[in-house]
Amino acid sequence: MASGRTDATAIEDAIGRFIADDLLLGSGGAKLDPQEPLISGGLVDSLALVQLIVFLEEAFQITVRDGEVVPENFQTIRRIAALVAERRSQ
Amino acid sequence: MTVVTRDDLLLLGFLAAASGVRALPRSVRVECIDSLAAMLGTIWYRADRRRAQEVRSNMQEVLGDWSSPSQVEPVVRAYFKNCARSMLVNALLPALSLHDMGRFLRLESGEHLETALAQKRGVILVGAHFGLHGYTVLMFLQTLGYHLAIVSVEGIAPDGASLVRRKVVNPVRYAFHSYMNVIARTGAPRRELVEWLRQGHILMIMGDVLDANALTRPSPYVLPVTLLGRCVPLNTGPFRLARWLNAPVLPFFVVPCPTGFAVRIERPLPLSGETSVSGLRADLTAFADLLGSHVARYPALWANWGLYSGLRHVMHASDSSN
Repeated sequence: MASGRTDATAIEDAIGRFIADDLLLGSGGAKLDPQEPLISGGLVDSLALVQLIVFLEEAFQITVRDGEVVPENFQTIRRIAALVAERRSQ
Repeated sequence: MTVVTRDDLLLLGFLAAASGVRALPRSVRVECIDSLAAMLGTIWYRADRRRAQEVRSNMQEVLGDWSSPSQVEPVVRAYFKNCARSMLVNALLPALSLHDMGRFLRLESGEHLETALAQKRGVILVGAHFGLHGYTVLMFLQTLGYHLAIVSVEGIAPDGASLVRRKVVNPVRYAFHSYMNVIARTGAPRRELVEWLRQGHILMIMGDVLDANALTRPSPYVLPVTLLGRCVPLNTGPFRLARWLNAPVLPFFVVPCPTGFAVRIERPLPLSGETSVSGLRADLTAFADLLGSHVARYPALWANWGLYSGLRHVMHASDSSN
């Protein structure tokens, strides 16, 4: 259980760092909250979302299917991390 | 839902005019484009007083020193003629061969494009709503044998669009786009952008989109830069894409030349290596400077004077570095 939580936290941290450093170029201020709305909050636009998907595929060795690219899966860092964990377990 | 608007009737008029020209023998089609554009542009200028006033106010406010009506009015009239020509040529594109297009359009400094393509990292052509822009350039370069795609709103009816716009105007207007590679700007993520560039092809993006959406997105997706001495928010997408994929960015402008218009390909922009907002703004500023110099030289050719209602309110007289 503890290991599962650690994995999830590590995934969230990696995604959060990518968004803060590579997408927001450090302009996002303090560390991102994993529950912060990314799309409706304007933290990612459509191109940033493509960058994020490619990052997830390369960093976590997963494939994100087109059908999975829906706002519900990408609304927060926590939701994205859950998607990554789910894809890795398959 | 609104059934029909004044703009729908205008677009239908251009589509009807283009159909009329298409019915002419091939040998005379190109000859009549300019005179027909002048006639349609004059009618448009006189009939659509509200839009003419908007264009006039935008030009006077943004270009500042054009305070006298005698200076600005010929430019406003020329603006409508240019818009009429663009719309007419766009509607005529399916009926024009490379030979036909070559009679009023030529490629200038194509060696910059060849050199960039040879690097095999894809090429981002960043243009503006200037001269014979968008689909005309796409079709011309495509007919010349280049593999390119354009990022465009492509027939997506805006919220509140009329019934005639949805059911008649757009289907007719965009029917011939099946000949083209268009990546629709829908607001959803489009992986095709990346795949297309990774295949070493050309992606064409308009760098001066000033719609409401462009104004609301936060930094670094939209950044304020100086254009024509004003502060204006521009989309950083083309430059973020270029940095990510290490693709060269070549600005292009369609400028007047003795035989009509030239698609002038500029040298690749020297992109800042800084992974920071200020580095991204420097890239955007280099493009804005080029655009500003072209608009200042050929003001009537910039379609944005009339595309956005209240352009002068978007282009603030404030410092873009804030």
